[in-house]
Amino acid sequence: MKTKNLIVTTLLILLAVVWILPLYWMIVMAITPNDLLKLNSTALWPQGFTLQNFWGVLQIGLTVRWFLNSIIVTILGTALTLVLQSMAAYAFAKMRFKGRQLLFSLTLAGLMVPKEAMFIPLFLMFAQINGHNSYAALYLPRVAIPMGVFIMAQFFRGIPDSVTEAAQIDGATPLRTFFNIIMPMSIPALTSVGIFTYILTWNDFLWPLVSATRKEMFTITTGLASLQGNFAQATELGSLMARGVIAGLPLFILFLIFQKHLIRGISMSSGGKY
Amino acid sequence: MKKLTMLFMGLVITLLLLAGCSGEKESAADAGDGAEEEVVALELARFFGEPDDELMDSTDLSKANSEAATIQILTNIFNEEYEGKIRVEKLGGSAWGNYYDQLNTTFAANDAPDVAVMHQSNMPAYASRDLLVKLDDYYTEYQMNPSDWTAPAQKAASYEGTSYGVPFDLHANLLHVNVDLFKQAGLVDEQGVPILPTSTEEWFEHAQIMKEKTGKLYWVEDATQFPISFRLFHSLMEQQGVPTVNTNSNTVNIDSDAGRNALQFMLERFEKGYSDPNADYTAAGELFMNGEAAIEMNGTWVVDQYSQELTFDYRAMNFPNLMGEKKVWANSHMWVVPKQKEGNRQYEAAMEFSKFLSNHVYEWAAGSGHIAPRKSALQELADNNIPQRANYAETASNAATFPPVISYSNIETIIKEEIEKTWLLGNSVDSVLAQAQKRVEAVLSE
Amino acid sequence: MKSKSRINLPVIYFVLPFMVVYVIFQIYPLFQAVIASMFEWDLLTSSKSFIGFKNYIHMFQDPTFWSSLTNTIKFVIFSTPLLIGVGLLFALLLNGTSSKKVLFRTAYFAPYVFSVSIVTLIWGFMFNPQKGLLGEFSRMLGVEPINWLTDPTFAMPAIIIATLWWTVGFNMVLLLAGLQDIDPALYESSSLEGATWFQDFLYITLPSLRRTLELVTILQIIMSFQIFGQVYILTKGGPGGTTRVLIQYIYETGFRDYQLGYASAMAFILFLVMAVVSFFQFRLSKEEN
Repeated sequence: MKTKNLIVTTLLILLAVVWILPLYWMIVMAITPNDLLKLNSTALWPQGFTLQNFWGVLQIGLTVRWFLNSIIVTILGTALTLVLQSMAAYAFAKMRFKGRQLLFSLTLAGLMVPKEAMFIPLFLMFAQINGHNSYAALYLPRVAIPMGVFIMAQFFRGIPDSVTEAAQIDGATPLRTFFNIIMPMSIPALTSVGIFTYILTWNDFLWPLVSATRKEMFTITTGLASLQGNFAQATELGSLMARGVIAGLPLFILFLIFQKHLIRGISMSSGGKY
Repeated sequence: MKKLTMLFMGLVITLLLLAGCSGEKESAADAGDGAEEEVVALELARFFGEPDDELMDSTDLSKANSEAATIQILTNIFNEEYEGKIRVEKLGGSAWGNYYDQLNTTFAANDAPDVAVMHQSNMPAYASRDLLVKLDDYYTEYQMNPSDWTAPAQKAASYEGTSYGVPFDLHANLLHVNVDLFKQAGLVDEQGVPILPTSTEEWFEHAQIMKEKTGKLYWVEDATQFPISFRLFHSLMEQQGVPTVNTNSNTVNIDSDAGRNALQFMLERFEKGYSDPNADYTAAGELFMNGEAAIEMNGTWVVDQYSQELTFDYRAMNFPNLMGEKKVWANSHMWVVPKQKEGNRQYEAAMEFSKFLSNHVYEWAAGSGHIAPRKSALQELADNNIPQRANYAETASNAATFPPVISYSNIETIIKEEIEKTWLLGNSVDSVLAQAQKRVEAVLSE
Repeated sequence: MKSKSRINLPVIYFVLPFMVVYVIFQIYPLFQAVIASMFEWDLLTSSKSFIGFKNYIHMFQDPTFWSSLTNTIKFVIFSTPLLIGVGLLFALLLNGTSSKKVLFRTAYFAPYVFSVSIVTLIWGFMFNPQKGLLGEFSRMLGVEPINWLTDPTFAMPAIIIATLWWTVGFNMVLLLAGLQDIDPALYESSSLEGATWFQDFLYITLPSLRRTLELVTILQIIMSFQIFGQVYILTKGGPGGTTRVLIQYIYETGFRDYQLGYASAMAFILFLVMAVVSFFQFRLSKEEN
């Protein structure tokens, strides 16, 4: 028993080192002056120390605005996705109605369409109503990506019908059942959908690039990219890494905060569900 | 749980309202207030990146030490000079790699910017589709002097006899040379200037000498990442007087003796160990900067960086004549004026801006390392002793842009992919040339 | 069982809001793309001309289409088991609230928060034989470093490794969520009977995870079929086009060569391939039911 634990822990530590190493390297490069990196980018230990790579970005007047844009778009996109898509998922999983299978297949189809193919029609659609350079253009298409529906439907199917039936008998409307009983039971699944949607929306690049073309409407992703000169990885590697850290850090912190909801504590699992 | 939900909904609603307000503000500004506004807002699309924050509003040309800084400062100066009349607004924020993606979507929506930078290689795609304003008459109207432009620059700016661009620069491949290594190998003349080979046989002789005397690689370039090997191939074809593609007869000359000579030479350098077949762009640069390679074939854009940073004796030199005429790959940045819908046209303002930039090609060349497209500017650069410029001044006339084909990117990718198969996959020279020929012919016939 | 004959109002307000957004922003553009596949549609000028099935005929004779499709399928086949297997391993090992587990979970998930451009930047350097960490390690061990990104044998594995590092957190998180729905009482009673952890795994965990595993598998397959960013930036489809995946070819055709019609046709075929694969997977899972 003890040796098994030791083996497992060693394996975990080894893998964790492998996983963290590239990120550690990224941070090392981010705090190294660009000039030193031009000659040697392998060093695991910083060859020099500078905060200029970060400072250079944060000093730019619009960085705060870009962060704000990203935050607004991402929060709206995630909130709407969580609510709208889990409601639809619940209907698909738990309610019987004509055309359910067809509609669900249609929804799943949306996952299988390469966005590069739909890109231009979507772009032209917004262009026709002069809808670009707006938050709506950035978060609405995200809400249409049905990954959340699929994930939540699968999890809702795992909830026994007895739960919903019991609520019905108690006189609860479907809406009340959904919000008061089903949703609280599904925190881990909802947390995963929330995390994924948040990250994917935040890191979305090509769409904001072509849709939000005014400097004030850049997201942090496109804003940071706009700073990049030609052959940037040869000339400003440290800055590139620093920008990557800046863009990713908020997401990392968010994951740290919310990941505990992925796990059900002992108090929840006994009696709470069945 | 309920309280959290309520708080959450409240937050969402607040944000939705916020978002709604911002959205409206943008569309109000958008809604064609052109009639009331006196100032012409000129939409500019460009890459080159952004300079440090303190230079974003600067009008001090002495601070222009990079592409980003130079273009931003020039734009600021223009806005200052034309205050109240024209205001240039930079559209979008694409890095170089995504620039055309962004630009192309604006064309797709029939809402292209008023003035945009474009490569000579890509311009034919837009010119052939009648998406750009023809500029010959504007040159006259705005007293722009095309005769001051060098021959390659004039050629680059036109397509099928009509001018579509205002040249900003030519950028070409140079040889970046480690003079110290050359001295060590004894390959310098009495003035200590490196001696470059004048034929492929000499190339191999010199490479062998370099290997014996210094143990270092003779020559490196990015052989895998960007289409730099493609540019070398094109240069060697041009040197033999055989263009890769003949646009007049719409024929392809890849599978030819000239093609074989070029590719065979390129491959042999790797096979004999005088160059690194796996080097990507940064690796090639690092090899050179660390003194592991005597020559790096790279562009004009690194001249200032190398000049300022290298610790050894560095010299930028013209690409040598190895196979006949002295020619080398070049591309050109130029300013084009996309056509606009009636009522949205700001062609005059666009020309004012383009003319302004054309008048400042000296500063651009000095700040970026690229080659000025105007003879007067070239003279000035030589007179003012800007570092290294005199050493590659000849490239201004050797510059050979790729033949103006409509499907340039496609052809570039095909050729690059096929020729690299010889040193990366071990395919034979004949088979890749035949494949490339077939594929490019297919593209041309579409 | 509530009424089926009346108009089911709750269904409408549960499904409609999402459906409205979905139809407008996903179905409508998709519909247009399908139509576009029967046209010659120039990206820059938006000029269109109807050509029927010519795009599809051209596609089936296009060697680059076939090589791209093959590369995509290769990627799906080799990466899917790896991504699911490792994700499952992590989820099983790290199910719990101890701070040690939290630390490890964070480590394995962390790469997912970064964008594809920074991930490929890092791995582009990692894989570089002269300057990358992997090259350094090889040299320390006295082994000639591998040219990961320029050697046709290693280029696809390199992409798979980078993808594993980047996205395994996704599968891990989903499987963790799935593990939460397993009644711990099952494990308690089995330990009373003296079952080993392997028996627990086979007879309790796996069957209970079946629904989540189906979810993860189908999502992973669908996402793998659409791989693009990592390949495009790490190898640009090279060396010599041997790693070009179908989405890359679709992107090049549509955005670089301006042929939206042809690009749409290929996208539609890719969609059909995914639909067929999903269909068979659903069949399989239904049978196991």
